[in-house]
Amino acid sequence: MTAADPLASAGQDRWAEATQLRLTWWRFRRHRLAVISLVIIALFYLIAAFADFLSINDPHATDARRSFIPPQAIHFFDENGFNPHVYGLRGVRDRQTFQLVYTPDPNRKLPVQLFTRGYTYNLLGLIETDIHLIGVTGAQRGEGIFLLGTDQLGRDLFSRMIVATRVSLFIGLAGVTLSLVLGVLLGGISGLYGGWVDTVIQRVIEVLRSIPTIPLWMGLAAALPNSWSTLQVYFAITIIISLIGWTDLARVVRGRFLALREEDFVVAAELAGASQGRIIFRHMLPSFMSHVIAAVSLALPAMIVSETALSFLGLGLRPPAVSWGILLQDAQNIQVLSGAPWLLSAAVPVILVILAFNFLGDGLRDAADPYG
Amino acid sequence: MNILDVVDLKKHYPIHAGLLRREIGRVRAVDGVSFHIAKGETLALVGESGCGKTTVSRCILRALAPTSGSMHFSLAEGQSVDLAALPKRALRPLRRHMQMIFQDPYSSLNPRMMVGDIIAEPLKVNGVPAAERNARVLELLELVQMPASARSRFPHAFSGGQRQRIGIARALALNPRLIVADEPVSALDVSVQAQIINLLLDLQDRLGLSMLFVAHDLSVVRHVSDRVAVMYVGRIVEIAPTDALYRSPRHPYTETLLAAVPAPDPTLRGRRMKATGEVADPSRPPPGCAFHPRCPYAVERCRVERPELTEIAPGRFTSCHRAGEIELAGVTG
Repeated sequence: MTAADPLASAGQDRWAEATQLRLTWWRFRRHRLAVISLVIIALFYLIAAFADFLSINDPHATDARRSFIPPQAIHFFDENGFNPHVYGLRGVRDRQTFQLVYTPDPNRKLPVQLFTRGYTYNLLGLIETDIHLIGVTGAQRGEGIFLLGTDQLGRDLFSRMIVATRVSLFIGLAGVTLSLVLGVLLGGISGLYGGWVDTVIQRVIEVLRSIPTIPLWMGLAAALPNSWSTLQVYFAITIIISLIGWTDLARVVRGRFLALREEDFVVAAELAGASQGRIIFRHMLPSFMSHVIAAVSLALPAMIVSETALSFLGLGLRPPAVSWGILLQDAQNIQVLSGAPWLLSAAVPVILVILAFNFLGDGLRDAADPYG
Repeated sequence: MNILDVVDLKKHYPIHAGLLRREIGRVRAVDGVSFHIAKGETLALVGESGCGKTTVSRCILRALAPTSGSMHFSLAEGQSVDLAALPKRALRPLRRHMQMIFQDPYSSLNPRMMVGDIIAEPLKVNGVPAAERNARVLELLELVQMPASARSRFPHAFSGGQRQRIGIARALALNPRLIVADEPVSALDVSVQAQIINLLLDLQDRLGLSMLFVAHDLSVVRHVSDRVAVMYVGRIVEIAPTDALYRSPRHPYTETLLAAVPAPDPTLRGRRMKATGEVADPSRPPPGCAFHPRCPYAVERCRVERPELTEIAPGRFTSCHRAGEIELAGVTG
């Protein structure tokens, strides 16, 4: 007998009274890769939330004098000990290509400082400020910290990538939220009522899924009026992406509803005289919420990749909006790439986030049903 | 007084085929079953897998809608309703009077709810106030011999037998007039089976339960039931008081089932009869007596004419043409 057992340790007691969330967490914790991924994703969202604070230079500021500056390193020590600085730049005309090549000038040191003043922005959309995490003092025009170099128009790639994180990650979230609403609603109706409603919804899903996505997106994106503002395009793209995305979630939800309807504990609640609402919200929803969360974490990277692909093809967001896809668009040209390969580094966060989300989704899916 | 009067209950599942979903046949899962359960009595419903006994129990609880027939359920002295005729909505207030004990103690308890909430759920949905609910949960836990500390634990902390006790406590929560136990012990270990059977016997004594006890073999039934109904392919082939049925079965199928009861006597091994062949397909039952392909006593008449359930002695019904001629072996002791 569990409770009367004098040998029952405190640990066992904790286990006996653990809620589903607890059990899921305990099981999730064992999945190392997923936990690391969770940390990475959390970091990325933190970066997105404080993008302007973290960016060094104005991501939209162009300057012809500093185009295609290669990545610069921050030097932490010099002959005087700890003294973080970057080198100033000296433009030298290449005798063969006649291109202006920037070389670091070790004689000019620009001290790097924390919490410097830069361009003005709204912190979290609330507080207007011009404080940035790092910056240099005493920079002449065209100088600054370019950790990942600059693009053709002289915009700082590092700052642009940080600001792009915000757009790219939140378009994923917004798209998934919309898909989730559609998916849970339609999947729920489908699984709960069955019959012809189910048939109609399932056929719609099949038709939607049978359309090749890229041409569909291209068609829809091409239909967006040119006169729309960046913000309007942003929302339209979100809707377009989630239009396909909801089908997967709807299937998951429907499947769970169908399976749970036959489950003994649901029958028991029905036989006890519980109302339909109670059965759905007290018994069925909590039973498959974890599956939905896992499905969402697997749907998110697909959304992010969709946005990146669309923007890369020039069908998604348009400049001056900054997203990973738009940054990669600059890296389309092989001539540009041969001269400025650092532009390709915009692919790194995409790969990192997608991998992290996939591992997280895997971990969540394994932990989702701690009773199975 | 009868708690439940079931008359000619049928549950057919149509088989559809083709583009137009035309009905091409029917699975006669339950095909004209009649029986009654008196107040305070336990009726066992026994048969092999697929004979329709679970369908009968689900129909009575209206987890399934019967195809035809009537099921009169008495609510109070001289007042009864036909469960078969009521729409689902009208059933909800009646649900509290009949509760179910499930076969699988694992899937029948919501793993996301604490045991206390599981047991209290029938009380809660029927509007019992919170303070009363708590007291009742404690009372019920004691009744099924579980510690009070079980309340704040989740089902995953309990073994199969303990979970089944929780399931029983939930079924008893509202003091139902009828309990339908769908193979309550067949998913449990033999040693635990005995505990649960003893608990049910104890509850019968203390609460005067009326119960429909569904089982797939006769070994556990003997201890709990007052009468036994044997089902085969959607029909009842024999009903008799438990002792009489065990001592002298009047249907060859009952004899077969009795022979399958393990006997603690090795000398009996030689003369046991075995059931040969498979249970008939309820969508294409054989003509005549459904049991004739497996029956060692079958004659020509059994192959063509279907026997009806007839009373051959007071309280004893059987549907066998040769009930009066053949001598069938029961179990003694």
